[in-house]
Amino acid sequence: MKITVSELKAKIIEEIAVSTETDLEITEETALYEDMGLASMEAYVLLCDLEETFRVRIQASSLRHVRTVGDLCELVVDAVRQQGRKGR
Amino acid sequence: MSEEKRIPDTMRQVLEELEDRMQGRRVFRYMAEQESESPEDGWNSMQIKEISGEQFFRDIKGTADLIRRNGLAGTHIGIMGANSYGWIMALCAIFWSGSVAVLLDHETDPADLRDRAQQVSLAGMICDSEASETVRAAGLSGQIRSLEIRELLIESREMRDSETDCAAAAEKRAEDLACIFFTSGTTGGSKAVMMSEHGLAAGICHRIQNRKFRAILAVLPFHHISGFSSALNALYLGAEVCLAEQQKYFYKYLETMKPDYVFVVPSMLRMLARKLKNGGPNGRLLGWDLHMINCGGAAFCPEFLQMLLDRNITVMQGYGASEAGAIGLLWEMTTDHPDTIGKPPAGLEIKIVDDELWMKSEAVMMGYYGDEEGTRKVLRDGWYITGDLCRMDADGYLYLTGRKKNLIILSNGENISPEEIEGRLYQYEEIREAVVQAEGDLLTASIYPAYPRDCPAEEQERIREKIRREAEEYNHSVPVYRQIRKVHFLEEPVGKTASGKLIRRSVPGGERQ
Repeated sequence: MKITVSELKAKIIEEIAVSTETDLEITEETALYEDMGLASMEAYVLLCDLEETFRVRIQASSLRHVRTVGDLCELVVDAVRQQGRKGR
Repeated sequence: MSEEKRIPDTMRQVLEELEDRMQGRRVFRYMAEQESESPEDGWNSMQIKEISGEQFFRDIKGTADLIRRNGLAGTHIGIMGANSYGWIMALCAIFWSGSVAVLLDHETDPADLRDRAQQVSLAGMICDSEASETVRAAGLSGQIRSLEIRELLIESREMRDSETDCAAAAEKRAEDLACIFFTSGTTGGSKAVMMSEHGLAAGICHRIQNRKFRAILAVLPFHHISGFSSALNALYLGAEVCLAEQQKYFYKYLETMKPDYVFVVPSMLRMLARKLKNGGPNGRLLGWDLHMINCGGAAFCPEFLQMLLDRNITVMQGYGASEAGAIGLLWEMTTDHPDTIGKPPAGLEIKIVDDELWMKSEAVMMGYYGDEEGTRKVLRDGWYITGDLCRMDADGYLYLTGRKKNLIILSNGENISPEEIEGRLYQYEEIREAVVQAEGDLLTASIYPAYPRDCPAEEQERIREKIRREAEEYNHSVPVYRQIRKVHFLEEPVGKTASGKLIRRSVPGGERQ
């Protein structure tokens, strides 16, 4: 079943909320470090949970360019797309 | 080796003694990726690998021989890479070959790597595949001999036993240089800390951790002294080392390899505490078997103490300083003294001078490489001046009360020199003055822009926008924990002392962005 990008992002945001156990209502604009108070290590562990849930591999060094939930969503969406291309 | 036995003079002697002790036992475990048709399997494609004492020393000797064959014996050899079996093995091989190990953060950017290589006269580099890219980008490939860890392991294991009988390197002495690593120091700017053969040996061959444990999870970065020395000390004490090679698998290592001891920093302690709240005794409901946590590197979080004690977990508070070596304070936390760093162990002398803590032991550094003036400011007759303000109560318990110098200490244990980051920002001509501070764990920069005279409001906004982009450009070039999270714009220049130094505490709120 095909999933749209916005549906995928909604699932990613849900997974971020579950993984970090945050009480915040998070959106793509939510800043991981400033708003959610994540430590850098927590961001790496979050990456692991996203990899497992969406069955992708993402280089940990990509986190250097991630500030917001939206940035993380783009990373995962990109990885899912690449996975999809390899599967063809 | 009994407690009364003399500490070896050199790291080679430490390793020779460890070789005897490690016969017939498992010394390392780590997770290795298996060949998989589905690379996205990630953790699911990993299996536990075990290394025996015998294998460890075959690898060390073989690699030491390769170091010698590559003309690097006795030189300054860098190690750069994420925590791995290969990393710690290569470190020991460098010691075995009579060379000096230069420990480099695998997240060092190419420009800094080039500077450091020159600063400490690097002749060679042992690195993982990711770090080898940085070495190439730094333009060092043609200047120093670069060896990849994976290839060293393969080649050394293909060598016949007789080929690995590495002729003893020129005998090193107790006072010779063994190791160099980098720290922000108490006086700002990156410093190259020198450890002697005997100083390093003293920091490994001690029994300050007098509680027995079976296996430590080595999660602290090995390029920090607490990272590699806690792993080698565990081996010395007869325990094994579980290697945490990728931070993102932190919880999975606890579940799969079930170490009973972990040495963490406060940000990791918060993560553990969050899980352990509903994790049952020793985290058994999570599949863990955790009995002891040592938290060091930054201020401890006493709010978790009772909860951890209720889950049958002993909590130790570690206090030390890179320059003071691997001998520091290690104290079991109790609820009646939750804020103390404890009392000094045998082998460590302390004194408080003008409210500042001084430390002395056999493990204190030799000094800063190529920086006699910097060394003189912090070393006096073998005493290291920590820069930490301290008091002692009537019962001899020590309490930290503040920092004398400008160092920012994050909850991940990393020391940030604000002057170092400010120096990076000053490369942008739009920034006239910059003061880097911390709000909790978030680094902030208060900036007074270089507005031209009579600059109209629109132009000022354009300059501020450019500075915001420049801050982002800086952020993309550094690890996450060194990134500037907030930029405040000041409406006036920062206050200054009579000698022209910026008065950091005078930085007002400014225009918050």
